[in-house]
Parts: sequence; structure tokens; C-alpha cells
Amino acid sequence: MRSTLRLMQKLKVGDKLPAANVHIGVPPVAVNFAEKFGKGRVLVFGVPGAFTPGCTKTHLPGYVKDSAKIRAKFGVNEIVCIAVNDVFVLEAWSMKYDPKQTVTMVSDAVADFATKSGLKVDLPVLGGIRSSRFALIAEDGVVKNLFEEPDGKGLSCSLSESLLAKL
Amino acid sequence: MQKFFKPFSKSLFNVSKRYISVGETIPHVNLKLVEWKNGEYATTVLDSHSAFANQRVILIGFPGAFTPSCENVHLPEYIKRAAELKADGTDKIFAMSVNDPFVLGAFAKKLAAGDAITWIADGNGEFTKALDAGVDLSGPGLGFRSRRFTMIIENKKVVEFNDEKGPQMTDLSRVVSVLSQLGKLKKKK
Repeated sequence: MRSTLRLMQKLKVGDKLPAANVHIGVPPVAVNFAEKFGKGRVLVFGVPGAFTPGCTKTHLPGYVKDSAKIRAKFGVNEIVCIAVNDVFVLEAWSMKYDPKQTVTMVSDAVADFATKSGLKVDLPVLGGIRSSRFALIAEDGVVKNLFEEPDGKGLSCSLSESLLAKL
Repeated sequence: MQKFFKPFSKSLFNVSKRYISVGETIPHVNLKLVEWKNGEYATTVLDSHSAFANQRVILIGFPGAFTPSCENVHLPEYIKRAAELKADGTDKIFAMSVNDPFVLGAFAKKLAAGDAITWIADGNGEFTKALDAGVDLSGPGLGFRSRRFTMIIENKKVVEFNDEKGPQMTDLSRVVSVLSQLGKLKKKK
């Protein structure tokens, strides 16, 4: 009963990163999210969809542009972008909008991370459950800061410029 | 003769894996169509019966935008020979995948497809499931996808169905097979 309740609760500050099954790279390599990103400091931002307007014109470019500032100010060794898209779509998106690959793309193709973290939003126009728009900083696998857009897809508290200004 | 008995055999033998058959009407589902209009890709919603009524169309099913075979071989050859395909009574070429409209628009742009193909963004897999054309590609991290197939559809009825029964690409789903089948249809008339 308690574990079911835990599954239904959303990820919050103090929680461990979810042990979700995701894929990275082409050809895809299956990894456990918590294991892969559980050491040191990491920034993870979630996007509802590769190639969608907000994600493409604002959210991703912000982190690409502010990558050095983010790493310096927050001491993170990696900036990760997670989305409910497959690795091929993410690679095409990354090659076009982040050619120097400053951001590590993580494919949450079957929404395992989105479901386990509760950081999800239902977007029928895209076909169903997607990652909500959020940004978090984790240290040794524990969430230290978490900003999720109130409606799951707006462009405010999860943007790089917002984190740089607020934290 | 065979077409007459087909509906009866289905109910008698209760086949567990049902594929859409030649002669059947395509299912009635709302489709998200991504089309080239005025120099960009725009999305509209139209039901499948309206989209396929009173025309002969080709429908290509493919596993995923930006995946190697789809991007490098399968779709480009249909784009390249679109004029030939449409020459003798084929009105439109549709291509469908379990991808959202934004991903398909970006894919079409990358392939420089222009208006050669009308894309069906079956993001929630509804049309794929209704056609019984799905395959589980969770292994390579793709989830539920369309199989690779081609269909020739005349006024909503399936006239030819070339099903790879998986994501693989063989001569069965390639443009030369469809061109050959269209040639035979032309001779029948």
C-alpha cells in the first residue's frame, strides 16, 4: 500500500532519482537512470516533445547557450535533457539544435521516467503522456532543486535563465 | 470466389492475429494529417473515410521518423518516384507512423519531401491499432509502432496489402513492388 502511494506521489526535493529504464545514444543503449546519473551533481530538464515549438525555440537553446554558466554556478558535471521520444528523434533534434552536444539526450520512449517521477503531462495533440517541462538539480542521486512548470508545458521556472537568476 | 468466402472463414476460425484483408474497408478513425502548404508543413484533422474517399491512394506504414532504413532508403525512394506513382490514376501518397505531427514535419523537411507525401501522424497509435498493423519495438526503445507495409486503397477499400510483418524492409515494401502492382491494376481496367 505504501509503495503504491509512493508511486502516485510526484518527485520532490529530497527524493532519490527514479530507477527508470531509459535509452541513450544511437544505436540505443539501455540504462537505469538513477545508476547512470546518480554520482556527482547533474542538471536534468524535461521537455514535452523534440521538434515542438517551445522546446525547440526556447527551452533547449537556453540550456545550450547557458551551458558553461550553469556548470560553473551550480557545479554540475552534466546537463541532461529527457523526453518521451525515441533515440533517433532525439539525435536528429540534437544534431540540428545542439551540434556541439553540450546536452546529453535521454530517451524516455515508453514514459518510464515520466511515470515513476510523476513529472508527466497528457498531451493528446502529441499522442499521449509526455514528460512535463521541468528542471532539477540532483547531487549523488538526490534531488536538491526541482522546478516544474505549473501547467506542465509553460516556459517559466524551468528555463536556464530562471534557474540562473533564482538559485 | 475467394473474396466471397473470406468473411465466413474469419468467423468460423476465430483467427487470433487478424490482419486487414484485401477487399476490406479501411477503419474509420480521425487522422492528423501533416501536409505541405505555402512553404511549410501544417497539421489538420480529417477522418480516414473522408481522406480516402473516391480516390486511389498508396498508404506506406513505417516504424519511425529518423530511423535508419526509413530515412535513408524507404521513404526517399517513394519521394523520388512520386510523380511516376501518381502518373496513372493514383491520387495521393500517404505515409503513416506512430510519431507526432512536429516530428513528422521535421522529418519531411529533412527529406525535402515537399508535397510528394501526405503524412499521417498517428501519435497515439489509434489508426495503426485499428489496421492491426502494429509491432512492439520496446526492445530498441521505440515502443508500439507501425509495421513496415504498403497498401493500395481504392475508394476506402484495400486492393493490395504488402505487409513486412515487422519493421524490416525487403523488396515487398519497396517502391518497385508498388509500381508493378499499379501497372497490373492499370491493365485490368
